[in-house]
Amino acid sequence: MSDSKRRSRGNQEESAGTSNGLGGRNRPERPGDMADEDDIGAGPSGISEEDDDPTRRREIRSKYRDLINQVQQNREDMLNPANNKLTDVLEEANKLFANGIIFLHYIFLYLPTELMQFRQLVGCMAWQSFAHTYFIFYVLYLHDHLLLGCYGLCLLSVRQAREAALDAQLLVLATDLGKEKASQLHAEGSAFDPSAFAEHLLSFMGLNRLEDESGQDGNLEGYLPQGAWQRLAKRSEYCFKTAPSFHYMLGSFLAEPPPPRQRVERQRKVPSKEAKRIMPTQLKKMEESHQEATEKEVERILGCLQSYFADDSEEPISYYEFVIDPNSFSRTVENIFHTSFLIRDGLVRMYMDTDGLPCIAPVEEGEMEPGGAVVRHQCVISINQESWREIIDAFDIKEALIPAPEVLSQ
Amino acid sequence: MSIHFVSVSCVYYSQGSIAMSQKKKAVSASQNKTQRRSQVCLDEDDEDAHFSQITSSQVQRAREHFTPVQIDRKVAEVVQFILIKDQKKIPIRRADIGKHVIKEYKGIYTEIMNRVCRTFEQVFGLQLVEIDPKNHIYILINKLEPIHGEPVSMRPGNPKTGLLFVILSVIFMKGGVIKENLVWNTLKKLRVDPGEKHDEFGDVKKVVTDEFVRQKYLEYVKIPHTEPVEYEFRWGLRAEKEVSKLKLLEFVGELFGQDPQSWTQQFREASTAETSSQRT
Repeated sequence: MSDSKRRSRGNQEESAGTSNGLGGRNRPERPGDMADEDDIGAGPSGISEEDDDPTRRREIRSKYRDLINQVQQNREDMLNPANNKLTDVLEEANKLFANGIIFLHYIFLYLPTELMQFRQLVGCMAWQSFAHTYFIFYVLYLHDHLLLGCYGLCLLSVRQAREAALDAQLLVLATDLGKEKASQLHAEGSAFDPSAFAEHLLSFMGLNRLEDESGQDGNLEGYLPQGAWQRLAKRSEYCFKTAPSFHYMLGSFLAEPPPPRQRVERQRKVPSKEAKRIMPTQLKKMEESHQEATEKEVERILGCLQSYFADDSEEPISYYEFVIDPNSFSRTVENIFHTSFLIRDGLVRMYMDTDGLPCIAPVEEGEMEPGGAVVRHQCVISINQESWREIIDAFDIKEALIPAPEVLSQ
Repeated sequence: MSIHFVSVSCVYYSQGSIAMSQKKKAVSASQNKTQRRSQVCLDEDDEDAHFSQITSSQVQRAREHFTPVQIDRKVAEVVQFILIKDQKKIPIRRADIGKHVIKEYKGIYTEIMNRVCRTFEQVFGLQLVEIDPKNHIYILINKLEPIHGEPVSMRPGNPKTGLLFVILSVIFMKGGVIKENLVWNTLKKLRVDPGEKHDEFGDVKKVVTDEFVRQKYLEYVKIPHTEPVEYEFRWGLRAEKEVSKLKLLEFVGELFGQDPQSWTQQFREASTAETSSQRT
């Protein structure tokens, strides 16, 4: 039995390792005594004032929180059997723990020497319970499957509870991860890494890696070509026993009224627009032709009269001979109508000759008296078919002096 | 006769509700399965019992009441109903078949369904499988094995099949249950972000947690006592029947360049699943 003190400032994960040679001296418990030189193991300072410094404590707490976040966010990466990130985190936690303010007190129960030979480490368990603020660390000794006793009690007194709480939280997360990692190792055969799986899938789908790839972890470089997922789907289809979806080969017969309605509406719209467009031009044309026709006619007749008079200015032209068209009564009426315009405008004058028959002659330009002091007489000429024929017979008119107009293209 | 029919169906459906409440007490998926299996036998016996009860009087009368031509037509109608319903890949409930198609032919329901199954197998090469014996839900699967080297269908691959394959493989290779974060993280590495709209899949989260779940390819279950709420993914009932674990493992092996047998646990599970499905 040595007097050496057993002191473990260890981390809980290493408790399994340190429990091997457990034999120790009985030490009285002095939980409240921080100045005890035996308990220096906690940290370089070991004494109250510095550890109570709120800034330092805040620092420690924030570092703990960072570690906790790190574990939570990068859970998948930590599970990767290829790296030791979990161990790194625990080492960080170790440092915080060691540099912190947590004191350890040990109590060892007296172990009878004669039973030492039966000591056999069967199990070792350590847990941290924030509420109880101490660890119980014990080893079971068995002889012939008979539990002889429980030895070894380590009392951990935690002074700064908040930091301990964070440490506990970190520990829970880390042990959870550790458990998963261990299960990966314990599993027969290879582990399955979803990240590697994703990488292989990307290669299969034909990922185009950019040439200047930096190759950092988690950096999503490259782009998937078109039809990448179809490619994967085509290969994956073999794994499925999917029944092909039922569809009629030629489509189903479904009479749908809406599309035809649209077509009809569109067609209706178009003609109406064009019709509207046509209408004004048509009207315009008609009006113009109507006016034009009359004016043109009048001018033409004046031209005829003037040309006749130019040929023979001495001989007067009989009015009747001039207007009557022996071949068409309606033509005759039109001629009378147009000639009346000429007379109205003062371009032509009508007079009675020695026989009392009306004659017609163009008005010379000099004869026109401006101011309209000319005495105007009005008369009405009527004619019917019977008198028209009588005049033709009487004057023996063979042909029209006013030639028939060209047929207008209306 | 009609009153008797009503009473039969009432008893039958109350059986179903008792079975459902029993199901809710089950904790894990595997426990569920064994319970379902044992209760399948129970349920089928009861059903047979009911049907045998009515066989003596009702079925005889039903057979006499309907001509063979009418029964033929009813079978054809059920086949068509199931084919159309299967287009969306949402499992078909027996209650729907009864309500919309079979109606007054309920007495000879078993006979009709037997002929329907035979028609599917012999005419279409499809199998009508009951994935949920409790609630009597059916799916259609392909009876024909795909030939390697030849395309499965002439149509271009549906990208959602690829997405589904990724999720199902991760779940299977990780032991059958995974937390939802693992799925989202893996998909992110494949440039599929559930938070963003994807070119091919649109609202990825909806496709995975709603569409695939309704089609019974996946199960999306809440983990109890978690704050904030977390969900886990498992294989759905349709996936169990429709997906060959062995073929899936083979493809995973191809991708990794590894022998599928190197994943011993998964290989064992896949082999047992294959033999049991071949037995049915």
